[in-house]
Amino acid sequence: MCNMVEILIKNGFVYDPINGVNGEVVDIAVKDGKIVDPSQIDLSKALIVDAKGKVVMPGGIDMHSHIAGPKVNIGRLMRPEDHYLTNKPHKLPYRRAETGLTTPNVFRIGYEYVRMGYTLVVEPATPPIKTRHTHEELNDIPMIDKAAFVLVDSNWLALDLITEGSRDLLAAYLAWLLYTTKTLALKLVDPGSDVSWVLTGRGIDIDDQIPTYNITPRDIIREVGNAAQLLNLPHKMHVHCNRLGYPGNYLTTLKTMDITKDISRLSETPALHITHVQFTGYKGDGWSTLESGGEDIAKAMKVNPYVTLDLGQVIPGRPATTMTADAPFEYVLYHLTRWKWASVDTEVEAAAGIVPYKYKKKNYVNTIQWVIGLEIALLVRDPWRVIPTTDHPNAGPFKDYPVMFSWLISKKAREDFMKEVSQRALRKTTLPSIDTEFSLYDIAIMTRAAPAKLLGLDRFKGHLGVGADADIAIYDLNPKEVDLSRDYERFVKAFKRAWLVIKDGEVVVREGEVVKTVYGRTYYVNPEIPNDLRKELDKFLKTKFKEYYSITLETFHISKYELRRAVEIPISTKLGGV
Amino acid sequence: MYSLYLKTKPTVLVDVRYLTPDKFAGKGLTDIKGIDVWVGGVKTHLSEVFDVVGPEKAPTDPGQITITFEVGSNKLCYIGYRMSKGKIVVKGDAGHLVGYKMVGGSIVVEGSARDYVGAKMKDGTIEIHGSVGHRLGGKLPGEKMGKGMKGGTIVVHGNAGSEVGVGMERGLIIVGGSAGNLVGCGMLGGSVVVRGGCGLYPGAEMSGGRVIVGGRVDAILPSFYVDSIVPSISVRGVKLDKPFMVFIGDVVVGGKGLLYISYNDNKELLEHYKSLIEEVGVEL
Repeated sequence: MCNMVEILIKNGFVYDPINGVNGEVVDIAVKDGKIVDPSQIDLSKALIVDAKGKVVMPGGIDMHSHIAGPKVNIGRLMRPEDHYLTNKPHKLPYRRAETGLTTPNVFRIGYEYVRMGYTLVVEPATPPIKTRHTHEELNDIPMIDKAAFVLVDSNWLALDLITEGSRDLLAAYLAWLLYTTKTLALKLVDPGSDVSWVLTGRGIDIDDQIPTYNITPRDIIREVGNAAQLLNLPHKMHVHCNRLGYPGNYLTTLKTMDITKDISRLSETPALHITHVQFTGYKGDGWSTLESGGEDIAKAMKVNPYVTLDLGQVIPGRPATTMTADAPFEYVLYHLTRWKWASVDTEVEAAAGIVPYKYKKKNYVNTIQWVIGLEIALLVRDPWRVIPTTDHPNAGPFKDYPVMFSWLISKKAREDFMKEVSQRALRKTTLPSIDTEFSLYDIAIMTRAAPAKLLGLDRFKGHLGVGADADIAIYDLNPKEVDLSRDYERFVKAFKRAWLVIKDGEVVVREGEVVKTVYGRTYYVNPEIPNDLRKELDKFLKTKFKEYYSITLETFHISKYELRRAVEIPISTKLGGV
Repeated sequence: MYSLYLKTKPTVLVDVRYLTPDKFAGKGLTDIKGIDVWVGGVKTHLSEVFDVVGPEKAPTDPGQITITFEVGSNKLCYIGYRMSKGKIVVKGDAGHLVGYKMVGGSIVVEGSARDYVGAKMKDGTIEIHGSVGHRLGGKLPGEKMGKGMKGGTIVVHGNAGSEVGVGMERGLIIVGGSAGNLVGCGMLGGSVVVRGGCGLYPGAEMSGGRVIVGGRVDAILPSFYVDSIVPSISVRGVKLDKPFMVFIGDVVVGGKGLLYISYNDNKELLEHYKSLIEEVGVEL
């Protein structure tokens, strides 16, 4: 990669929260795919970008978006109608053909993200045995950098080890699993429920007994949390709470947050990330009396400093395809929608369900859902801990991120949208009385700095300091002239299509159009395992694989060469009582 | 009034979705010649594909315009897409999606047409003198039931392929010849009349509407209840003067659709059902 031009971005208003730059005019220099000091640039050869009156930010990071894997592919198969009116022919040699809205093809995923200025996206749930497929698909997504989280919530091997109480071996197994599936972090989806779903046909709450195992989901979250601490993982644990999608489930979310108090923390970084919290913030006894649990969750965030959240913000008026490893909930949702449903079990590890859904503006429940996400973000008011996502494609397509941001930066945007939604639902919420408006700096934190920190990639992602990867997004928006809270439509327009995007030191988007197709890296962790523990682990794996799996241990392992541009992040662990 | 002559026989699919009276209305001949046509997905103009003969200035009311494809081809797709008024005549074959989403006016094809004739149409009439392909008056794959034909009339003088009227909501489809499998599957309403025979399982998953089969049927789903035998039926002006056995279904979707099967043509198949009717004492 030495064919890169040198680039100098001048006169732009730079927003770089990790380095504390808030809208100041700073020159950014790019050389060999990295950000360098402007003095190292040969000005006679460099490409000078005049960003006068424009916003310069690091490339965006989406830490929860279902972009690859078997369930996305099943979603594509079962929703041909998603592709009828969304086709865009190719424009070679710059761009391949695009299609799809809620289940786009790989090209659209890459292009649409980079056109919005996003350069790193994480696929948040891949069952270990199907992760080879996930990587094949990630390899085909152009433009962006990628990573994946591996599912461990109903993994029989992990459950066996948790039941036995062998903490070190569990940590070693999870370390091996992360490395062997080439993933970045651990994901828990409705812990224990897939075992229960397969055996009894229903999900369970956080303190219910898991059938055939003498443990509860609380034990799984705590023990995996402890193992993540031992392994010193950058992103400790990504939790999708139990009872997702049921009225009254905000109590389960509060209990899940409290588990951080039982985890023996070995570092000061957040111990638990609760994902798409909107789906688990429902108060009330039933759908007809549904209320927002946003206030309670916001309060709990104040007393649980080691918890972080992402929203799963609903975009009313857009179709969605719900796809999750929470198979029992999809069964319930199918009986609400009565249209299509795919249900998949993978051996030993997980289950999944896919159901198309449409969030309607005038619908009472959907309005409450819309309110919950915004209430949490606006009441917690901590952009470092609350990340706005739509849990694409579950609550809305990622394409609508700029619209979601506009609700956060502008009260007027919320009020304008509130005119279109169910007024009966609004009367039951506090959203109309919330005046909070985030600034552009806060948006830069929520979409760049905070996800980079949470993923542990902030050494080279999510900022514009010297040494960072040259992933830069420039938006045609003058923050000194445009009043964002009144003129939010200008903001939406600017953020929908970035004016210029630089990926790895190359200009890939100009004025909202893709001008070059590049392929990004895939990040994964390699936590080191002490030798004595590795021997024990090998013995454990050999017996368990023979007992449980239909494939061999050697087939299970994904090699580095199977990933396009793999980047390994070695981790020194605290295993073995150091 | 306007005659279109194909310059060469197309070898790839040609998308003529904008060659409708609505698009022609009020335009001069040069403007009409500049209307977009896609050949194999590549955008080009009407005059590149067709020779146009017609008046210098089209009337502003599309209802007074007749467009005639003097040379047909089974590569011409989307004929009459979203047309609301006027008439289109094809003197030969037509391709896929004839009358797709049309809301009025009439289309006459003197040859045969391919799949999805009258798919998702709302109103108007389509007459095909030859045969048609699959999913006549249907919905597109993946869509909900009821997203098919919403009104209007389709008359086919020849045969039809599989899944006639799949997911239709209202309207009338008449097939003069025979039809393939799954006639009227997923219907919510409307009527499908097949004068000849049909393939397997007419009316599968229908929850409303009527399916009439005037010929031999290969098989009936067990999820239909037999109701009675009627001596003759008349559906929206179409009279069939022979005895029909009436079924109600499809019960797997809790349907209340009516399925009429010609009794004389299917005596062997319906023998068992007849004995059921006789058991409870229903008079023929």
